[in-house]
Amino acid sequence: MKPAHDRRTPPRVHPADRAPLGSLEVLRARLLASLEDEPLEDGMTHAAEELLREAILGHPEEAEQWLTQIISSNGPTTQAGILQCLGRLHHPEVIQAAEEIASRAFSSPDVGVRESAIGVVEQWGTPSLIEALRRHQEATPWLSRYAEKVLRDLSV
Amino acid sequence: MDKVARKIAPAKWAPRSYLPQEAVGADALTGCLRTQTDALSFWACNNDGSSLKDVVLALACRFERPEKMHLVVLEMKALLDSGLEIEKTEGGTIVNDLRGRHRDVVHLSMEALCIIARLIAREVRAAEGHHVFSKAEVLDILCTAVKQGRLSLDALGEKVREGLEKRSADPPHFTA
Repeated sequence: MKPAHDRRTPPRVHPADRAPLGSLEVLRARLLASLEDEPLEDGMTHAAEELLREAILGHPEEAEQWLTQIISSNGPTTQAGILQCLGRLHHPEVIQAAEEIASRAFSSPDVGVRESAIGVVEQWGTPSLIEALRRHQEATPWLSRYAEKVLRDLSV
Repeated sequence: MDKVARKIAPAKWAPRSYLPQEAVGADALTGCLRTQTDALSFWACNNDGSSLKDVVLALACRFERPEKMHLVVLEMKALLDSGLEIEKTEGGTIVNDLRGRHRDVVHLSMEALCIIARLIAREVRAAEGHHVFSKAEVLDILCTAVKQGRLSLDALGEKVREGLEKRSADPPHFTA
């Protein structure tokens, strides 16, 4: 008779646990888990920032595609959270990888994603994002007020 | 002071395409109305700019990084008329002269929290009781408080101090 443990179903292994530590697959899983575990709050640091920093600085050539894939395959709350965290990272590599992603986010139907995109402009203030925000016609009144303030602040 | 204010994330309070127009999405409650000991934290204020800036100051001095802030302002009477209890409690802020401005709505049940949620949703959606302060405005408020001696620069987070240093090169132009 076989020992009982031989008949057990092998424990399920998440794909991220099979990949080497620090790989984009691991970082993606940890990023999504961190955003699920802890809500983002204005002014407060979030664990997702460090994971994004590690992914982008550690894999600069794959970073934009990696980010685009995560954003396109997740819902608006996750998209908004990732954008807000990206805006908090001021490394040139992060800006290079995510500037176009932030610019595209202005056309999101979700008000939270558009707010995070405006927040990225506020944090980075790059000429191309300022121009994208100038072109953006925001229909939600409170978000339009925020966008106007950001453009005013960045015009100094 | 006849009003109370609280920091919110307004996008969570927007109507949802998959819910009735007047409904409040669950994310608003789970994301913006976190209670402790069945109490929800607010700051007493009026609806004028100076009073609201004090609420921003009370909250932003705890920030780990400079960022925008959204406040929702509710009438105290609306809370009391709904059967809710408000207690004056010491606020967790490093600005001494604002500690007495803290209020807790206490003894909250799930039903009571839903009452508050409906009041907040009404203000955010009507855009009357919702105020947005940009990152630069938040920094200007902190900078003014430091200059007035209400707040020590050393008490602020490192990234906030860095933001204030960068901002000090630009003239404040806060007008709200």
